This record gives sequence, C-alpha cells and structure tokens, in this order.
Amino acid sequence: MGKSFLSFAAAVILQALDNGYQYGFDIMDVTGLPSGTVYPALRRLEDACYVRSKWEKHSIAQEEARPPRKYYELTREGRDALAEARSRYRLLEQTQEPKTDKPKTSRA
Amino acid sequence: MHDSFSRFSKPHLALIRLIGVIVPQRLRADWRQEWEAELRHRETLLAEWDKLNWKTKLDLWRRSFGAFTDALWLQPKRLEDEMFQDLRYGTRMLMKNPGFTVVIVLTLALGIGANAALFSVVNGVLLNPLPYPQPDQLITLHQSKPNFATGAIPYPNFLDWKKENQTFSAMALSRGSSFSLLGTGEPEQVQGRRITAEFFSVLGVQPALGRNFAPGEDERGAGPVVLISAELWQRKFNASPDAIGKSLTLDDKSYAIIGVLPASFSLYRGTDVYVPMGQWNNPGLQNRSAALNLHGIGRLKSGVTLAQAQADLDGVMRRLAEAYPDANRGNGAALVPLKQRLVGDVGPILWMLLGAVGFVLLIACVNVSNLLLARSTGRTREFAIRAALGAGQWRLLRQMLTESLLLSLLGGGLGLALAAWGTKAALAALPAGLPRAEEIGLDSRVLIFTLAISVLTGVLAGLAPALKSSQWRLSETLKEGGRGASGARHRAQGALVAVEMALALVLLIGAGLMIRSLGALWNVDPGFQPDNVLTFGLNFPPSMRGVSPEAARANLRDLSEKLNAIPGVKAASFSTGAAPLQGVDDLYFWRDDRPKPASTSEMQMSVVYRVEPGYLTALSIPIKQGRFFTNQDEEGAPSVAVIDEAFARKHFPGENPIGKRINLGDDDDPFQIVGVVGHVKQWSLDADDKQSLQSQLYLPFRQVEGNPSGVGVVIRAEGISGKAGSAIFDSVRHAIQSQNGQNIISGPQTLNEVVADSLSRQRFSMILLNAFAAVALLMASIGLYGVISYLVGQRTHELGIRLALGAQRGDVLRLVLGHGMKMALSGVALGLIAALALTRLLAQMLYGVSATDPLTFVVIALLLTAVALLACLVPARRATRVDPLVALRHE
Repeated sequence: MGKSFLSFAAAVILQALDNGYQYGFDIMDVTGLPSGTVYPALRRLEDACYVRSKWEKHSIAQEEARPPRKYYELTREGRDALAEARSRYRLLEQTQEPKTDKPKTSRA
Repeated sequence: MHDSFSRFSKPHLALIRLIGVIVPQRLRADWRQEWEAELRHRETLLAEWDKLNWKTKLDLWRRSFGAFTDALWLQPKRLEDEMFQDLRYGTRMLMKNPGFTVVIVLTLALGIGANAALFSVVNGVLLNPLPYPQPDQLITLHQSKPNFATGAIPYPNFLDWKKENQTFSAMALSRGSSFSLLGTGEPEQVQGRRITAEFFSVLGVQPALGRNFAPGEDERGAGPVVLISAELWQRKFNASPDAIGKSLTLDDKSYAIIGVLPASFSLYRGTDVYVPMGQWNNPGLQNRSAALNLHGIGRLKSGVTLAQAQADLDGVMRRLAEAYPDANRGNGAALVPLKQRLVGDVGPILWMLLGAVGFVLLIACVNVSNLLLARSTGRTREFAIRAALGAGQWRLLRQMLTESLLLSLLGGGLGLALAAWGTKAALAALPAGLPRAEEIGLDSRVLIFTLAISVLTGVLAGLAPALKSSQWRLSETLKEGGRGASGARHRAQGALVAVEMALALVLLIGAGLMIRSLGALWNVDPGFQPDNVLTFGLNFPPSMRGVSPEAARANLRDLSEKLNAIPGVKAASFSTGAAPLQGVDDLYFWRDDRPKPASTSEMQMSVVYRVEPGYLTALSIPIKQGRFFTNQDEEGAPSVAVIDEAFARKHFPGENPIGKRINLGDDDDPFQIVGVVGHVKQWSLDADDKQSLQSQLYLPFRQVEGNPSGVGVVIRAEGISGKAGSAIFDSVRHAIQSQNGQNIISGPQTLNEVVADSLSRQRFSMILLNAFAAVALLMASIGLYGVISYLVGQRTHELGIRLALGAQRGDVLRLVLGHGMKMALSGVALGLIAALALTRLLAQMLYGVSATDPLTFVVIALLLTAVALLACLVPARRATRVDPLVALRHE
C-alpha cells in the first residue's frame, strides 16, 4: 500500500472522484480511460484504502427499475494521496472539469 | 419471462453473467450487480437518445468486455477462497509425508521431463517454421530424371526456368564444393558452396556484417569475392570487423571477403565459404545435359500454391524438351518445399518416439495413481471426519485433485529442468544426423505443452483415488476403524497395475523389435568387408593444377606405390566417383554391339567407381568372373572395365559379359569388360534394393583420371584407425605429407564407422525406445511391488489368522503370488493385444523382422512375467514370515 505507487491513471481516477464523479462508468466518460483500466484501478485503490464503495439507495434504483449501483468516494488517505499526486502531476487538475449536471453523466 | 427476454435481447448483460463465472465466488454476486447496474443505468440514459445509434451500442459492448479485465484482476483474491484452503491443506499433507512426496514428484518429473524433451525435439524439427521470412514460400528445385526423382539442374536449364516461370518471385542455384583454405595457418579443407547472386535474398538472409553478392559479381571475369560463415569468422579472424575486405585464399585464388553470415544461419551446417557461381570456370555450366550437382531454391510469389508452381515449371520443361530434345527429353521439374526437403522422413520416427514416451508418462501416471490410492486408504478416517463435519463430496474430490495437481505441477517443473538439460545432453551424445538439430530448444510452445501434460497428468493420476475417497460411505468407514479394507479399492489397484504392465509390455515389444531390426541391419552383407579399412579424402594443392597430365599421373602413381608399400598395409587405392554408403556418381553408357542412341537420355545408366587395382582387395569385394584391374591397365593400354552382378544381370541377361564392350556417354571409345564382381550396397544397408539404379561399373583410375584436384583413399591394414597415434595412420600421413607438404587429408574414418553412420537414425530411435522401455519396465515393476507390498501389509491380520488356523507357509506364498500374478498376467494379455495393434505403426521403421514377430512377442512377454514374479516374490516371502501371534495382536 505504498503511497508512491500511485500511477497517473490512478491519480486521474482520484481526481475524477474528487470532482464528484462517483460511478465507474462516469469516471470512464470523464477520464476517457477504458473500463479495463478504470475498474481494476478502482479495486486497487479500494484495497489501498484510498477509496471506499457503497451501494446506492434502493429507492433511487427502484424508481428507474434497475439494480442499485455501487458508487465510490475518496477516503481521507485518498485525498492526501491525490494532493501528493497533484504536486507530482502538474496538469492533473486541468484534465477534467468538475461535475455539473449534464445529461451525459449520472444523476447520482 | 420478461427478464430472460431482456437478457436475450441485451447480449452485454448475458456477457456480464458469463464473465462473472470466473470471479471468485465470494465476490461474484456483488460484482455482477455492480456491472449490471452500471450497464442498465447507461441503457436508461440512452433510451432518451437515439436507441439505434450503433456507436453507443458498440460503446456498451466495449464496456462490458472491460469487465473481463476487471474479473481477471480479481483472480488473486481467490487465494482467500476455498480453493486456496485446499491448496494450503494439500501442501501441509504433502510436507507431512516427504518421502512419499519425493517419490511421486520424481516419478512424474521423469515422465513429464522425457515428454517435454521429446516434444521439444518434435517442435524444433517438425512443428516450428523454418527461421526465414515467409518460410512456406521457399521451395527447393530439382530436375527429375529417369533414376533420380530430385536430380541436379543443368545451368542453362536453370537460366531458362528463371526467365520463363510466372510463379516464383526469385530463384537461385547452389552447389556444395570443397576448397583448400591456404594462407591462414595450417592448410585445411573447408566446405563451401557456389551460389548464384540471389541465393541469400531468396532465403531472406542478410549478412551480419558486410553485404551480399551484387548481380555483377556473379559473372565470369568479375573480381573474386566470398561470404564467410560466422564460425570461420570467429575461428580465423577472432570475430574482428576488419575481416571485411581482407582476402582468403581458396584453392589457387585469392578472394576478397565482402560479408559475414549471421551465426544463426544453419541451412548448410559446416559450410564456411560461399562464392559466386558465375565465376566458376567450368565448361559444364554451358552444357544442358551436365549434372554438376546444382540444386535450386525458389521463393513463390505470394498466393501461389505449390501445384500452380509445379504446373508452371512443367510447362517450361515441356518447351525445353521440345527445343533441346537431346538433353531434356524424359526430364521434368521437381519441386519440394524446403522444410520437407530438410526434415526428410524423420517425421514418423519422431512421432513414434513421442507416442512411446507418452506411454512412459501414462505408466508414471498409473504408478502415482496407485500410490495415491494406497495412501488415501490411510486417510479414510480423515475424510470421514471431514464429511461428518459437513464437507460435500465435491469438496473432498477437489481436495484430492488439488493435491495430485500440486504434485504433478512440481513434477512438471522439475521435469522441465530435466528436459532442458537432457535434450542438450542427448543431442550432443547422439550424432544421429537429426535435421534442424540446432533449432531445438525450449520455447513457449514447449512450455505450454509441458504445463498441459502436467495438468492432465495431475487430473489423470488423481482421478481414481479422488473418486474413491469421495465416495466412501461415512458410517461404514467410521465403523471399520480406519483400516478401510474395502474390496473395491483393491480391485481398482489391481486394474491399474494390469494397465501398467500392459503399457510396459507394448513399449518393451517395440524396443525388442527395434533391437532385432538393428541386429538384422548389422548382419546385412554390404558386399564388402568393412573391418580394418580406413577411408579419407585427399586434396592436392593448387600448385598441382598447372602440371601436365603426364606429370600428374606420375605423381599419383608414385604416391599410390608409397601407400601400398607401407608395412602392414594389405592394399591401398585411390578412388573417385561413387563410394559405397557415402556418395553416388553415375554415368550414361551404351552397348557397343547395339546402335548408338540418339541422345544421352536414351542411354543406360550405371553407378561408377574409378579405382586402382588395390581397391578390390582393400574392400574385399569378391570377384565372380574374369579378372579385376592390374597395374598393366594403364593410360595407353586397351580400355577395360569391370561390372558387378547387377549390371551383368540387367544389361547382359543370359549372355557372358566378358569380352563385351561398352561406350561411355557420347564417346566412341569402347571399354572392354574383363571381369564381374559382387554387388555392393551403394545406397544404404536397408533400402539398397529399392533404388532403381543398381548397376555398378568400375573403371581403371589410371585410364580415366587425368589430374584430379582430390581423390578418396581406401586402405586395408590390420588394426588401422583414423585417430592420430595409430601407427599405420601415422605412416600413411607421413607418406602423403612427404610427397607434398600441402596435401590435405580430410575426414579419416574407418569403413565400420561409415557403416555405423549410415545406421545412425535407426540407432537413435532404438536407443531412445530402449531407454523408454527400460524406464517403463522399472516403473511397472516398482508399481507391482508397491501394490503387492501394500496388500500384504493390509492383509497381515488375515494372513496371521490363516497361519494360526494351520495354513502352511507355501499356501500363503501361493496365495500372495497368485494374487500378484493374476494382475501381471492380465496385464500381459492386455499388452499383447495392444502391441499387436500398435506395432503395426512401427512396420515402416523395421528391417528384417515383422511387426508381429512371434519370437519377440513371446520372449518379451516371458521377460515381463519373470520380472513381475520377482517383484511379487519379495513381499510374498515377507507374508510367509508373518508371526500369527504378532498379527493377531496387531488389532
């Protein structure tokens, strides 16, 4: 779980989470990373305790007649790691825009 | 209903379900839900937009495929799964009993290692593509002639093929030649090739250093240039880059080195120099019927098939036969893919050996299976307790399989190490002339093969014990108190031993047939006496080329007399042309008393030996009629010839050939036949009679050879050998060197070695098959011994009761032996049936013995029975020594 192992892709994903994108698919959309990268990275980040996952409220899912989604959020360690990564990857913050309500992404 | 329909119409959801199967069970439900929810959510969003947009659909697909990477990434989490528990538990069980584990791992390592080694040979020789770009496009080119399916191509014909064909992108011609390498240290004979300029570009080989021949260099009058092998570059120039531009003296000419070939180039092993064909000063290059041993190689245009190319060159040859009927009538174009040409007929032998070594692995499997079965009996209680605590049948089965897989993978790893080392050692030890031997090694395909057979072995060996252990009835086993002596298990062991015996018998019979076959080959009369005969090549220095034919002849006669005068030498002779089992030379002739045929293609053909009077004595070929050459058959004396019996039978049937005359080729200078000698095996010991060209003609060396650049020498002397230090060979060498210090002796070999070399392939397969059979016999007897020992151990109690009730020791011995021999004999019976069916596959490789040779079958079956009896005797005797009191107290 060494903090130095944060790859650029992982940093980009943390940045996306920090920007308010909470779901695997939304992160793919905003980062442009393929699902084969995003999911394993999320699992790793979760193992490293940078990220934790929760299930969406049942009521929201029921409304849309689909199973509840799993969402991810940053932990305190995750925030620290992101701060450290930002100092290393200068352009990290400019890679994506904070989440506003666009129809393309989720309504969480 | 609706759900299944929606899954049907949304394949990406089905895909997620499918991929979910490989996700560790603990995480599976969660995992599936997350992916399904994400995809369903995406769909709902999409529904608002254009539902039929294929791009978005494709995107969904791409995302669901990403789930696969995700699932793969979760694999290590299995370590916390049940499977890993099995593994940890299995490892503990194996460590608890290290002796048992070591025996099994070693048995499997031997079996898997032998298979990996042989597969690496099959892979390197037969399966791997040749190491050239688009190797399937490479075709060797030959001209077919009445007696040679793949004969040489006359140079003018080749030029026409090259010009007129439509199907080849390039063609080249080459010919092996040897050169005297002078000027760099000791003069030596090097193997070389004359090649046309395109030769290496056809193959797609680039020099490692320097450049290829330019087209202009492949012509008469161009500056002499040479490409050298990496080996020669290393040996003579210490691999220095300055070698380019330096000169190399080959025969009497100095060549500039323009390039060094890559070390990996191994098409012609042992060939060190390549010079341009076009610079060759041989009038035969202009002759359409000259056979200068030129063979071609071509690269097919992409998309062209062999059949199309064949049809194309057939057309070219038809036109050539019309234009030059004299030289080309009856000839055709022969195309053989390069790989097939290189590998030749070694394929069936290698596949047979791989099959045989597969049997060894099967026996190892059965042995291990038996050991596991025996041990599982000891673990009955453990399994019963696990079952009582709620372990399902599947869980127990999996536990056993995990353990056997663990064992087989350990064995496989060790086997691979054995194979890596063993293949190298075996190839070095067996100079069997295996084609492409330098390409044999461990590559990914060998690794995958080894992994696959390891897993298969683990499952096979573990299956019987696993099924048995998982099926035990709980209550009975617990009642039995862990002794677990159920008859069904013993029957399974008995059946396994019988199978093992049967497999061993098949291998032993195969090996026995090969031994008999090789023995028959050794006993083939080659037509000459190979004992105490030395043969070698002798090359004269370039300075001899310029001398007059008279001086050259005087020189040769002088040297021949010196050789014959060496004390201990019974006879010595120069020879050119063919040499039995070594090289073929032939010529056209016609009977002087028949009209001269219109063209050479209508003349008769014979193998030709140009030899001195001592030749017949040197090889101990019997004279059948008339006389052989004498010292009087000199230049200027009437031309004489000697023929063999096959020649006489074919060309003078019912006539006395002595006194008849024949003309050679186009010459009208008849040779009178003065003698008939015995036929010698020219082509090979086993298939000489299958060759269409049987006639053999001897011509007097001194009448037909002017000033050869080199000759063969045969010398008969008691105790002669080609090794330095042999007294006679030293005198021979001294005589040759004293006549001219620049004479070069090459390849000294006794004729016995020549005969042995001609059988190297048969010997190679016999040695391997015997090794496999020996291992099989050993394993099978250990297996039988193990099972009988185990059964005796299990029945100690019962045997004790029998003895206590008055059974004699002899009765006990008979009881145990009878039990063992029942297994062994049913194995032998089974093996005989299998062997009858399987040895038929060997038939092609056998000589002088039938594939179902009754003697071999009977002897081997008796041998195996005897070994089985011995294997049973040791534990049976132990059974007779059971002390009834001890045995009864055993409870």
